[in-house]
Amino acid sequence: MGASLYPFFAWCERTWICREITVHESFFPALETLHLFGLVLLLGTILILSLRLLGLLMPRAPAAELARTFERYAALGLAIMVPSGVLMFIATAVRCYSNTSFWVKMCFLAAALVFHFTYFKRTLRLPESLDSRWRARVAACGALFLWFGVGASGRSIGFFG
Amino acid sequence: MMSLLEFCRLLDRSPIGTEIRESSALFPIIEGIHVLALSLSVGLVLATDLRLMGVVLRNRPASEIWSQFFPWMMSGFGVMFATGALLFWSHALSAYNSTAFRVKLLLLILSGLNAAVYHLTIYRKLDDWDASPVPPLQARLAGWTSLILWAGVITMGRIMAYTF
Repeated sequence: MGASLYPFFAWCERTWICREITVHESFFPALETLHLFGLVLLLGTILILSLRLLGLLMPRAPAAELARTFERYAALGLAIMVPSGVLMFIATAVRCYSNTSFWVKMCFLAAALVFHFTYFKRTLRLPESLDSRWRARVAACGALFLWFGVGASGRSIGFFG
Repeated sequence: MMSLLEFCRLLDRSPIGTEIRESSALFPIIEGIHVLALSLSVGLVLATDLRLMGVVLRNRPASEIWSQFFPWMMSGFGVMFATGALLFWSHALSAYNSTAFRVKLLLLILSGLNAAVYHLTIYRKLDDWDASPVPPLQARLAGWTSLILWAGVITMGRIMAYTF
């Protein structure tokens, strides 16, 4: 994919950041653990808000109230996952380049972020009515599919190629 | 009587254990489900911990949060336990020899004890504080303890995979 991008990936592995991460044996596992903490926060929030949109969790609390409460934890999760993910990427950039799962994950991630900030967040704030029920279902199923797609393809970077 | 080590060796060498360990797809898929189900199990536990700590949804009764989140949380732990058991089955010998795995089990037991103590003590007086935005100190401590123990469980789970 995109042969012109290869020099950038190769450059990443020549940086001092990559050297630091690979020299210290416990650095990479620590990044993976942080990445998992972020996953609990981000995917946990997506689950809570999606279940609410489907009417399966906290039906008596307005979706907008749950959104106000939990969205900051999704943001915190993302704020942990992105830097730890970028550092893991820098340390293994050349392997990522030829790893199909990596590219699939990046596509899922781009789609999930766009869907989240345009459709999902807005749906949570719509007044709940019969008219908005289908939109709520689409938002919930879309978010679950896209974010868990990020997770599944991300996990397979280390296992498959 | 069979020792724990012999039992682990038996599991490790059993056809099912061998099949999962050596299959190129089975182990990654089970492991992937185990990791993603963290969001349902620990993710929802975290939400109830935060309510106990008086941090989120303060205007809603603690009992409402608990009864709503509990079934989902438990289904999450069902998935974690089932996939975790299969992963253990396939690497029982490595797990037996792994310090991280032993610490992980210890932290899981402590987490269970924390929940049991909470339910046998301050939870019995729930009627007194159900609607309080900030629950009593003992309940807040139970929330904090749970949060820290689960962070430890995840850390040990991640580390033990390196010893396999």
